[in-house]
Amino acid sequence: MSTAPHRGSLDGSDEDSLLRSTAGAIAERCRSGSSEAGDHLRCRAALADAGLLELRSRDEDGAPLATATQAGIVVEELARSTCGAGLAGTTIAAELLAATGAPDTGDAATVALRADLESWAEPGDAVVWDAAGAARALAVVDGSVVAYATGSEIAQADISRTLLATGSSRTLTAVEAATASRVITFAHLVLTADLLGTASGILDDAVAYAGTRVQFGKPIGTFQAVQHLCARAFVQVEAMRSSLVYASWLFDADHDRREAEEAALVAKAYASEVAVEVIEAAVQVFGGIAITWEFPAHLHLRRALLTARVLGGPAVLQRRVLSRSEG
Amino acid sequence: MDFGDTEDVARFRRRLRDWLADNVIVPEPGEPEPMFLKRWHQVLYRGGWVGLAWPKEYGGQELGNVYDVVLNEEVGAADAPDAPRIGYLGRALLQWGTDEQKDRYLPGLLNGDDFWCQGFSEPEAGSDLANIATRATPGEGGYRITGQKVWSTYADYADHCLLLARTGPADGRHKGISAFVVAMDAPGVRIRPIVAITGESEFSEIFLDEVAVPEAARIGVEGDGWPIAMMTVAYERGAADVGYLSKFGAALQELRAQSDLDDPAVCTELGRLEVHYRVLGQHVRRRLQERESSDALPGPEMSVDKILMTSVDQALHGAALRLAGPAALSGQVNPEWLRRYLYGRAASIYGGSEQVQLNIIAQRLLGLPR
Repeated sequence: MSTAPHRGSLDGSDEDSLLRSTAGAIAERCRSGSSEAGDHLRCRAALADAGLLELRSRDEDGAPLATATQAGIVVEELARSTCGAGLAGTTIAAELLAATGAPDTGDAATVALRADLESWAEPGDAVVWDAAGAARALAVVDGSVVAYATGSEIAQADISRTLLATGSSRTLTAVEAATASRVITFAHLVLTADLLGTASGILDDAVAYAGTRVQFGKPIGTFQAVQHLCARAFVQVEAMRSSLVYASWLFDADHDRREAEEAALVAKAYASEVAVEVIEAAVQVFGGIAITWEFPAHLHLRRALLTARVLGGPAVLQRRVLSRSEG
Repeated sequence: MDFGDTEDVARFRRRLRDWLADNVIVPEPGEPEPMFLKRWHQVLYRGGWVGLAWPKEYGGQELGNVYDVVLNEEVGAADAPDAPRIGYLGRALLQWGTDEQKDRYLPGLLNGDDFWCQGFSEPEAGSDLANIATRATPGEGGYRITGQKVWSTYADYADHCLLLARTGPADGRHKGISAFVVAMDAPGVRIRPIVAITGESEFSEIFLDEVAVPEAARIGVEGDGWPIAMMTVAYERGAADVGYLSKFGAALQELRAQSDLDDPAVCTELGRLEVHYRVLGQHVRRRLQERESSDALPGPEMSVDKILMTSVDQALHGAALRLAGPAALSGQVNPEWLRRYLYGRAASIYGGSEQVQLNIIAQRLLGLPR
């Protein structure tokens, strides 16, 4: 029997655990459905019903309804099934609106990025990321929050999410540099959680498969070559989780913003590098079935390849971490 | 999960930091490393910083494990030598020693007057420790021990050795192993320092030829030494041992200072190392929090920690050697980056090889079949 720490073993409160199981149940339904666009909207409706699209809305005292740690828990759970309901984009956009006090028109929003995904959209270079259910996309452009109308769908590698062209744009409000960077920090946590879920979901499946798939008269999980492949990937998953949990705690505690920013940068940089490696290991364990279109492994791989780029790919973030660390 | 210092811990940290500012020592010219470490141990002891988690009855302060972590962190940050690693021996003696043994061994272990080494590994028992062949034969008043030990750290300076020997059948594996305290000046003990890959001598072989050991020097029940060995190994490089983090951090700073930061490829490589180093630090902090909130002995999750630590060590020192270029290899036999690189190759071998750690993770954490 596996004694692996359950992924919820670090959850700090009953509320955290409840959020994980609520989100996990929606993810489980998502997993059993097809990856048609209509299903994304069904998942989105389920998330909305459970209040999980408003995690970063503010209460009457201006406090977020859920911590960044909790937002990460929900995002991770949905990513385990490569759910395409637009949760990550929606959650980041909600944080941007709430942090800047931009008027919330009530239209569902996601984020607008440069076409290479590595930073916020720029004039003449903008796409709508994680667009399921979104009517507009927000970005910080030249010190202002800008809202883009959504355009036509763009064919791209991550078939679990929707990418759209942008339409007309308008400026909503000015945003201070410190506020903008705190939103980026929050976004890095959400994206790390998404990468963690995308990778650990398929690795767990691969480990279970290795325990039952018989070749040469034994389960392939008895072979050390397969065991070591799984074990190394598990180490990477555990390290992703450690850095996410730590960086999220720093963000929520909010006593040292510079340290929180750096920890989130580190977490996103690391996850951007290793999530794809973990999924590649899972693909190897599954063998032939994993390189077919019908099997979901490629959904994980494709999703991680793109999420790894969002708001900074490995090389960009590694250099940023270096330039920010004391020399 | 809450990673913040409590008020008590924060106060302890400040007090320690102030103390370290005035009390860190440096080696005398020609002073051997173990003698220097012993002197540092005694300075720390007099300052009241040793045995923080030990029972008061034996000179400790009965503080939580987190205080040892803070000690290791602050000692590393002050660029002082490592704090003495006596917890693993202390725990074994506290749990399995008789009152007489505790009175006899614990004070010298605590105050640094006695230097201890460990006699576990053998030529035929490395990662497979249960394969030890050194034999303790019962006789009048005690045992005669004959065999060979290897990888004992600074055995040539040690007063005592915590040693495993077989008292049961030769093929008994974990059963029939007993633990002893062997006096290193006993007749029949011969020590041969091993010159390591770096050219330095940190480890020794110990040869035992009919060494007489009194029954009073056996720790625990005869034949039941395996749990003592396992507990010792579990605490030997526990999560509290964060000294290596500050070493890696200092090496990164040094590497960065001598690198061409106008070259984006170099910056990406250094940045990647920095990221992995910091993730290791974040992972260790998580482990410490888990350990604080649980009484369980460290278990198979330690294999995850070991692999992460090893990967940072080897990636860092491999990259350093590459980035430093031919200058790191020419001009002298053992330039610093080469020495650290060579030392780093040991990380995936000692304390249970990388492959054994992966087996433990696969079988005990992931539940894959044997």
